[in-house]
Amino acid sequence: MALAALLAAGCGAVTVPDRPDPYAFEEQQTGIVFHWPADRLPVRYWVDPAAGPVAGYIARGLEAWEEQFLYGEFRAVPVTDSSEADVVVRVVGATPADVPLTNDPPIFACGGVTRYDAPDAANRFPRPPVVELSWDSGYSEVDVANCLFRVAVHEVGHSLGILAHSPDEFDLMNANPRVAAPSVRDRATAEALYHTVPTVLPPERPR
Amino acid sequence: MITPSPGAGVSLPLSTRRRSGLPLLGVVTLLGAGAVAASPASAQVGVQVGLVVSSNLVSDSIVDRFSVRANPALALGVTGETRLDRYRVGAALTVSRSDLIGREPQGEFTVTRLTIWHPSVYLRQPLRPWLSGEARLGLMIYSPSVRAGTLFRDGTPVHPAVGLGLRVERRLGQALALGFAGHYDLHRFSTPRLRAEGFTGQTYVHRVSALFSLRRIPVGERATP
Repeated sequence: MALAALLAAGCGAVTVPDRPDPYAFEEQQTGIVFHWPADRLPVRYWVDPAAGPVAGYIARGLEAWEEQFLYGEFRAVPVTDSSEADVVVRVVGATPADVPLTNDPPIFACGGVTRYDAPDAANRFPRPPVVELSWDSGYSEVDVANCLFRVAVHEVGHSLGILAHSPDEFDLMNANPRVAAPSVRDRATAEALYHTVPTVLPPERPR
Repeated sequence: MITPSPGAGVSLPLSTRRRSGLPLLGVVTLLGAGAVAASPASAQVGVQVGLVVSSNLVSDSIVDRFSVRANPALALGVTGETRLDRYRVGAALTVSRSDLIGREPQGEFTVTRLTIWHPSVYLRQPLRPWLSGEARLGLMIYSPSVRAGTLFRDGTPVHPAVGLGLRVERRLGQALALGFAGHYDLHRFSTPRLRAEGFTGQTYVHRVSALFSLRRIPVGERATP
């Protein structure tokens, strides 16, 4: 009886938290909605060995994005065989220097893009998305490293399916990311995306 | 190809138009072991196998409302009990394992594989020669296979649980009894991550299990039908 009372004590109705409104996650010109389906998890990321420290940035980015979810909607693992990759990551040009990251103000010393091919007749992307990072040799090594880290985490957001940019400059998914971690609006957007029916399927899984 | 920003972006072809309760666990274990050890002459052990179904662990709303609950699970258990006056006291450990599933209008998703350990102590009273009722106190120990990116990220919960049950038994010869037990138990559920995310209150989780049991009849009781 005492335990029953304990069970009852302080047990009010469960309330669901208010979440921020998500920004648009669909590709703005085509309206494509994409995310990795549950039967494709964990998503397999291959990073070109020539990318040097970027492999570590991608790994940290994957961890940061995974942690945004409450119900295991997105999981990813690095793979060493490019033929097994669901997502390919490359650096354009020379291997960047592997220097410690700092909290210096953001310098836009690099760029990035995540490329998806047009869906095929079956409404499926024909090839794995490719993340390409580039950097400018006119900046210091630490500015380049900080920038590549921010942009790598940003591009992971695109590769998991956020195909648009946030209008808020304090969101990681802003077109020019100033922060290196997903914000609460980035989180709300990723969550909303993974609870929305996609319009396009991922490529067939490589054998 | 388009590159929406000079800094970072995503490109799609323009042509595309398609759319802690571990100390408590120790207490439970010691109580059970003590109960069995107290009277070896009447102590008996048994095994159980069956099915357990559970109500929702979480209800949430992201785009649409959805619920998260464990799939019906195979349950395995061991029991040990001894006679105490006209009652029997015992300890049980049941483990069940199944997928934790989210169900929303557009489909289902798997959160993680979930193992639930349920150690308990119980008091059982014979109601008929073939029927007994029991009351149970125990713990629900959640052990997910994946914690990162789930509601278990910041810790796995251990919750006290109460339960009631009925058991019918039929002897198989002198030394064994085959039984069927129906149990109901109740506990509250939340996790540190859910609380950190702003969920308030806790969910009452109801579980119903149906278990076949096989137990050894103590030597002292074998002559008495």
